[in-house]
Amino acid sequence: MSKQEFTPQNISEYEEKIFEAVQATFENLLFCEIEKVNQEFHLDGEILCLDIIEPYKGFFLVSIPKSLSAEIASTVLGIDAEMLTDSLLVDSSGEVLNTIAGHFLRSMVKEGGTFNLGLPRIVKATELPASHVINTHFAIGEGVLGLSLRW
Amino acid sequence: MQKKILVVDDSALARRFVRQCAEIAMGSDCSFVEASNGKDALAALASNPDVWLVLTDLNMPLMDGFEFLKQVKSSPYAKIHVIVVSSIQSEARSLELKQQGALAVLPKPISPAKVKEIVEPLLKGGAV
Repeated sequence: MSKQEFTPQNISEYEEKIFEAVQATFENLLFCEIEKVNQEFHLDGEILCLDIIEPYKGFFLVSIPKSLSAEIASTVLGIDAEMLTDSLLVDSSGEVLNTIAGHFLRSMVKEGGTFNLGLPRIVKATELPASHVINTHFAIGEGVLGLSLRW
Repeated sequence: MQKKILVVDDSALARRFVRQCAEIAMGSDCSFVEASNGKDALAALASNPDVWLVLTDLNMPLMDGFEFLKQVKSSPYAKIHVIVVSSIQSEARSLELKQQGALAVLPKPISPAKVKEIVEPLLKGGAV
């Protein structure tokens, strides 16, 4: 698989593709629309991370409000939000991140190319240095999802 | 006759979502077995030799979907239909997986319509 690189010159393109990926994901999961919003990305404590392995190298960080994770999980699993365990909420957030990342990478790879992602993992936010950061936020229902692409 | 479907994904949420899509696509005329990785899925096949269709993710711990597909297609269960459902789907990867015996490769999130498009010809006894 030939290597490709994220470049700072294409940040606008990446932001647009991220928006399309988030939009497509939530249209299918919750049948809802999203809206771009401006907000500061909070890197407190532990956060959910997904590595982009190839052909690009980088990672996504996601900040999903518990209420939004719960809404997704309870809708898909068909159970009351009160019955959701922390493990199911993390699973829900991880699957959302996985789906968004897949959609984004599919729009990025060259024709005939493939790509690989890691498994969603919880990390300490301070352990992830990056030279370049793209922070995006989207209003979804009552909550705001924060998604950061870094390399 | 009710069809048995094996759903393989390390995410409980994803397994449930895939189940729901398959149930709608099949008209609820199906039963389900679940596994969270390829290794457990192989064990599930051994315990459920009447599985008709497998819907599997690719990125999983212990044994990923690539290895699972390879092992299924060189096992006594080689004739079982396997649909791959994955966030790392691409045209090139789809071709690669179909060459290894996958019936179809769908990007996440799937929909009942997409599953129905693939299984309906099988249910009617035709080729896909």
